[in-house]
Amino acid sequence: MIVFHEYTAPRWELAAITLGAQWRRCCGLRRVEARLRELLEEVLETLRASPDPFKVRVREILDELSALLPRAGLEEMPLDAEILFRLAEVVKRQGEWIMGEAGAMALGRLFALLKVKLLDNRELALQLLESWRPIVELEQITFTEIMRALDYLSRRRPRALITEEGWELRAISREEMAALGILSERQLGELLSRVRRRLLHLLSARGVVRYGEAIRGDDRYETYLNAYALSHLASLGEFEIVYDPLKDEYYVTRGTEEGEPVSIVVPLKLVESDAG
Amino acid sequence: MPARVPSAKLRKAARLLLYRSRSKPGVKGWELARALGRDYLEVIKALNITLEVLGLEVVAVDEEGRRLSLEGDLRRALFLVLLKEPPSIQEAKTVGWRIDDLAVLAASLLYLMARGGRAPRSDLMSVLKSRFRYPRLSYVVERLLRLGYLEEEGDQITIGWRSRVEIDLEKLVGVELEPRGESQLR
Repeated sequence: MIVFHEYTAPRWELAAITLGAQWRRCCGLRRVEARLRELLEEVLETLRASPDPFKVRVREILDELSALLPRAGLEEMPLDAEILFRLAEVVKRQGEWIMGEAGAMALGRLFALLKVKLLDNRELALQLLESWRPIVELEQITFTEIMRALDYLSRRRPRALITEEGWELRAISREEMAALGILSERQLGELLSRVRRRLLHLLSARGVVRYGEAIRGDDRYETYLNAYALSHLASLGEFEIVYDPLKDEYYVTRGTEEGEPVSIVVPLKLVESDAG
Repeated sequence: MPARVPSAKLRKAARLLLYRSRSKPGVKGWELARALGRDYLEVIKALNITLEVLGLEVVAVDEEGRRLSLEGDLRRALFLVLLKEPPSIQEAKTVGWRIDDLAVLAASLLYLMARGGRAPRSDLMSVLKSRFRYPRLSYVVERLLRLGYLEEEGDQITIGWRSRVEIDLEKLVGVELEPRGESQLR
């Protein structure tokens, strides 16, 4: 006959067992969380590195997720959901990729790249126009836009001298423009002579000066002022601005009497980097 | 042959479709149904006959910009008026397109098509920079993004919904495709 003695564990032993179980569970959860983070990182990194959605190991990651899920706690659920969401995105991209592949096929890709490489701007534009049917719509001003326009007009600086008689429509003199802060003859004169002197000095050493160098100032504001002064001097025929399309570069030379004067636009963004 | 539709309804439909009411062009099917009644598709078909004379056409597209036939439940579809024939180069210039800007759009779409519909922004920009010595390049690309011809998803550039609606991409590439489902006309 077998007698089973009932064993009552002391309280310290029970506490130790409970703590041990909690510790093991805690370690397990941490491992699950760490692995989930690694998987999420892998998905994101692969997507970042390559536009090819087939580089993501969708099936393997899903298998691993299903193995990890029973061991995951509530805290790990958002991570799990995030990975599933990213994988769903990958599958969607794979679908788009396959459609793109089926559509353009290998030959189409080659054609597309060749066209980008070989056609000139006009031919590219014509190719687009042949396959383009633009949306037609009528634009109209809205009440909000009218209010915005009124607000803009009311905040503009006055461009007229208000006399005792009220408003008057007439040609404005240079002095009056200076009074309104539109023009300052003294500063403009000084600026023109300074830029002229500097350009003549630069051109005495070389026949041609890079545009960026010609207008370079201590800061962006001064660079813009110099550019303005140079455009004025060029309009007077003292200097010429020429463009070299091969180098995509603008140059300043001494003005010549030959040829028809033309207006030229120089994007200052290009020369901002040259400003001091 | 579409049913006879009162001319007042046709005029209302034309106003709804042609006047721009928000930043993205087009009118949703449910908006047309609310304004024109349950037979809004009949009204649209009748309007199409009227617009044909002017070289215009009303089309319905899904969220991805794929063309839908004017049948069934199209309350979630977007309705737009398109030119029935491609514009001439002079017409494109008249509405504010430069030849160079059109070339940038064509090159972007061709490159994206060659890359399966999307490419990192840096890749696309380096291709465009090597192709176009053009100071306005960044501005043009931003404009194409703003207009919906290109779209941005993180650091990736994709073909925008507007390009899918307006441009026959297969014709642009120059490759004939196999016929697709009925709902997709191109």
